[in-house]
Amino acid sequence: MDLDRTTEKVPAQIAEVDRLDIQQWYRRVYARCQSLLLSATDAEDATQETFMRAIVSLPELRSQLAINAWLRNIARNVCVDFIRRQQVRRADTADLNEFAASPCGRHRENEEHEHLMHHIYALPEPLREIILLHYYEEMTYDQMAQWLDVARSTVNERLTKARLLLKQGLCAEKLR
Amino acid sequence: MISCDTCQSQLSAMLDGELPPNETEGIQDHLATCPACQREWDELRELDCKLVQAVQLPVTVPAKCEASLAGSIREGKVRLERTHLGLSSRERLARRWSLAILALTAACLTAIFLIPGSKWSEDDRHATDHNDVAGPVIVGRLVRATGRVEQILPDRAEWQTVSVDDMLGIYPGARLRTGDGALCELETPDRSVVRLDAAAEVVVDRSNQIQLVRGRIWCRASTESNIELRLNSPEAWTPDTQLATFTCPSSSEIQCSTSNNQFSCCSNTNNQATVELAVGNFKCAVAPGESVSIDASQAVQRDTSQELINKIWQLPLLAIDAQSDSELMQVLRPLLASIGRTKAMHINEERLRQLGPLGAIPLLTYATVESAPEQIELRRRAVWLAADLADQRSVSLLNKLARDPDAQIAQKAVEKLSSLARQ
Repeated sequence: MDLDRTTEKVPAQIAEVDRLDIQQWYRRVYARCQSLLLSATDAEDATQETFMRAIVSLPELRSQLAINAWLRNIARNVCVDFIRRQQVRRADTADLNEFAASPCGRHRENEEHEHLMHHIYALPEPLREIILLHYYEEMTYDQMAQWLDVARSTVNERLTKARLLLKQGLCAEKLR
Repeated sequence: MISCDTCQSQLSAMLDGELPPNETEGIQDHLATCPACQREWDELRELDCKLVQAVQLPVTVPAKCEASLAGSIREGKVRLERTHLGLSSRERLARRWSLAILALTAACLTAIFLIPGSKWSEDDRHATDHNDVAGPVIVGRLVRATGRVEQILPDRAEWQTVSVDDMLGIYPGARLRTGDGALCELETPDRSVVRLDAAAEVVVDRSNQIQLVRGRIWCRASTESNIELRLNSPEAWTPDTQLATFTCPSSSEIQCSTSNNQFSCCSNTNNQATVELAVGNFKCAVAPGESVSIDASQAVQRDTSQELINKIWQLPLLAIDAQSDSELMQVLRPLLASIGRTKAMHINEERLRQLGPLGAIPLLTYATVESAPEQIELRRRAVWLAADLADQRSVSLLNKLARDPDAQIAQKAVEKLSSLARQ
């Protein structure tokens, strides 16, 4: 008899989600969208669209435990639609040379943000996401691991790698 | 002594304060002696400062998003099925029902229109359509179960498993059975509830017409309708061998069982009219709060039913969803109450023990769900009793109780966990 399984299911059933706390999820969904769309304005629209779809399909979500994967999936679908609709350029083609050709050394303060973003957008997608996630929202490695559905050690590796690449990128720019 | 590679691979985690203190110490010792790694560390901190300043999301953005979503919802741009407001379990169930009915209606219509050479006339189509919409084709849904439940459809030969998540429910005329240790609860479209004990078998003819073939069931008729119950002899089951019939009046509870040509029926509610139990031409009245057994030779045995004790077998079922459904509390509180340490308490305890390891689950669930501070004694008693019964299946609940704010409960849970671990 498998009461075992049934009782294991109890917390999941209890935790049925009735309400989506947008404030709680906003930053991480935003980081996901931005890492896919490479644009802050598009990310804002996509995040809003993600929550819109999430609220409408909330009854399909059976348990709070699945909410991470569920939200990430919706965000991904929204972004894919965005890319199809607007033909947003993908990050892998982010053109650093073009940026370097712009008048250098005159970065005003608000341009510093654009400048760093450009380098972040040039990172591979998983590293891009973890950097945005880390700086947008104060999450521990464990929390990030849970949201991204990866091991804690992977979080550490990705952050280390992302920072290393950013450092090298900025360094190479100085030398040019 | 750590190498430069190890040191540099840990710098990022150290920056984020995610390294354990002893490792942090090791890295700091290394940095003090290695200029190359120290330079890496300084550069990393510099980069982090830049990122902290540049990569920021304004605090107001999430609030803006929320306000804008609320606006869209108000203007009707997003159509909600009241979901964001929070559905009660009742509403959720009602929604499932309507979906199931919709799915069935759609399936029937598709079949009628698409099957080539269908001889259905235009009128017949309307008639079917009308029937499906007016009266649901399904007679019940499985709401909760502690194990395997199977049904066999009237025109089929093999048993199929029914699960709580099934979209389509129980069909008219279906035979339903529970396995060993598997209790289940059905709900009919008009909100009557039927619970099956382990190893029980019923035929659900209509939503308010049930035949008990074997074992024990409990039912609560909805406020709108009665439930007609027919008890069959388990030995020679054919559709015509029903031996006893009675009606469970609306809004009342009845428990009945059949075994070895003996039928028993107890009327559990005190505020309802007498139930009439008919065996062939013989009729006998069951008063509220009374339990009546009749055997094939029509010998009648009467007993004053003890409603609570009669419900003890349902406890494992009530432990599922206990958080949203207060029935477990309602049943267990008086059972665990000391009533001046009288005989009743020992009888109740004895009956709870008879549930065996399965009984530990509702008791421990009760202890985790009960939040009233004045019930601390009952919680302790529940945990003490459960500790005698619990087996591996209760480990997750015991783990929860091991962190209980009440020291005695936490200690008892820890003791039981360690004794289970030794086994």
